[in-house]
Amino acid sequence: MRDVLLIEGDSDLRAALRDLLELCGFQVHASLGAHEALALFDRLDRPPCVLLDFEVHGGAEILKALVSRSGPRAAPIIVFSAEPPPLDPRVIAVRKPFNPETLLEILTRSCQDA
Amino acid sequence: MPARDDDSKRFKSLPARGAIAIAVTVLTVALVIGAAVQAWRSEARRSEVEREALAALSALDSFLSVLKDAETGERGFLLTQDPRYLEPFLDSEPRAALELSRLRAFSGDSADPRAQVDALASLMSARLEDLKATIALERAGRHGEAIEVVRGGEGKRVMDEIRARAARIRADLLVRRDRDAAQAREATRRWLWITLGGGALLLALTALAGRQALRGVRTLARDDRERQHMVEFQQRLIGIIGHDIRNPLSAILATALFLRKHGGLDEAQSRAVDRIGRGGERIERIANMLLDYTHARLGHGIPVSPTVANVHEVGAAVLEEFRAVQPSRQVEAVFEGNGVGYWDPGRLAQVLSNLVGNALKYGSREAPVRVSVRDAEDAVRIEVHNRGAPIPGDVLPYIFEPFRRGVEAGARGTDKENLGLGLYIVREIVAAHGGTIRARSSEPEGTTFTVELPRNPPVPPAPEPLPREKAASSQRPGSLRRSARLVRLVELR
Repeated sequence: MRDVLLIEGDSDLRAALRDLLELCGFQVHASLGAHEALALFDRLDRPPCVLLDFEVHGGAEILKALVSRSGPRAAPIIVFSAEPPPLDPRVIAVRKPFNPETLLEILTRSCQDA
Repeated sequence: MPARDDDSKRFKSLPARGAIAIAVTVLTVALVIGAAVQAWRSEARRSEVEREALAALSALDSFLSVLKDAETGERGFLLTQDPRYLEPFLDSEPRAALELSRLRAFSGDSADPRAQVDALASLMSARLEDLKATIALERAGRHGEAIEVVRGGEGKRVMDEIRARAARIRADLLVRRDRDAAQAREATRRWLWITLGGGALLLALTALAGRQALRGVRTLARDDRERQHMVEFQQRLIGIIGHDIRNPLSAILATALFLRKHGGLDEAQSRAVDRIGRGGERIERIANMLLDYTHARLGHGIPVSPTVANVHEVGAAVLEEFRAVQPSRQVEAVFEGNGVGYWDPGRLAQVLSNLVGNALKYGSREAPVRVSVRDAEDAVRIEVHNRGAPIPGDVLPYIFEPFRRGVEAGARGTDKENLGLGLYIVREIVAAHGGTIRARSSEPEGTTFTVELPRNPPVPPAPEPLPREKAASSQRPGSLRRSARLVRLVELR
């Protein structure tokens, strides 16, 4: 079972994604903000796949911290953003509103890759 | 909207009123300058009149003095026989004649004054002849005869007439001077009044112009405020579309998928969940299109994130998707040459899927849609061709303008997602990459959309494996394909 760190400010969307991802066999660790997210990330045994809403408070800082913490072999970070965020090879941008099937496809593949 | 109508009338009449105001101003300035010149000339004429009258009077006085001096000299010589007394007499004739000629010069051309001066001249000659005769007698030693001539009184009578005529000429000169000077003064006053009136008119015109300018400035400021409000409104709209709708919509889509995957629904419930999903997806497509449109419209251009991308790979993925969704339709593809450039692969997929989607939608169902991607020097040329009814000639020039739906779509009225923005957004994406797009359409040729994309910066042509390695080295393995596929799915489904 693969861990997913979900950082999403919208509670409905967070709940919906949690339900969907858990149904698809992911272990979801949901978080509202920066500190909590980084604490969760550090507590997990192996680096999780990350879903980050770029527009949560301090989104850019979380992204920077996560990129620096995850090694080159780590799973990519999927970022929800209306504007394409600064390109980093480990960052995959997904524009909201997104198709959840596409998201599942990306998540499944990148978790396998990692 | 009466206020608007008033406004438009006022603005329409502005240029005509402006032209009239300028013409009136120019005429008034000309009038003021002309009147001032005239006033100055009248004033000069008045002082000229005064000066001439003064000169004439002084000539008249000098003339009388010369004659009196001559007479005094004669008397002195008769009394003393001393020839030195004759000095004033000796040059009296030319001096008196000179003064008379000066007087004549000022006496104008009317007959009367000239006649007066002529009469004065002949009287002067008579008087001088008389004096000369007396002096000749005295010199001849005939003193008694000379005294008799003086006593005879003829000389005094002539002199009295000279004085009387001189007095008349003087009175004449003064009357004429007063009359001419008064006329000139009157003219000066008239022209000065006209100058003043013109000046007042100019002042009024300037005040009017100032008021108009102030009103113009206020109108501009108001327009500026309205534009500012409009921009703020549009930005708020973008905010609503781009931000506030996205989260609930994503939640709806995720929940619908959750319900579908969860299972345990009966047939009617499954259909209901599918409807929720489809509705959400339609809103999502519209929201994305409006977001792109507002971005392009506000002058920011459509955001693109160029990276090393292969248009062949992007095109193949897009076509694969279409074949999966519409297996009955035929799509023929030719990918030739070097497909690598510096582009946003997701946006390329958006362009291709829009053009191919249109070709499938509007083209003949019997004929295949043809897609070709070929090298064109430092660019790639993408062509999407379909057969079937051509785009009408009156629609073709405006086909890339926003909110211009295809005629067929409007007639069918079933294409609810066709906002008329697709080709506009395609053009903006192509423009954001520095490329061009054009469309041609005719009955025999069918319809062809041609996109030229500069490689930006140009990637040197290389054997097929090398570009792949390049793409792979700059990104994670497979990520190019994935991001192209991602956006393809997001935009099309």
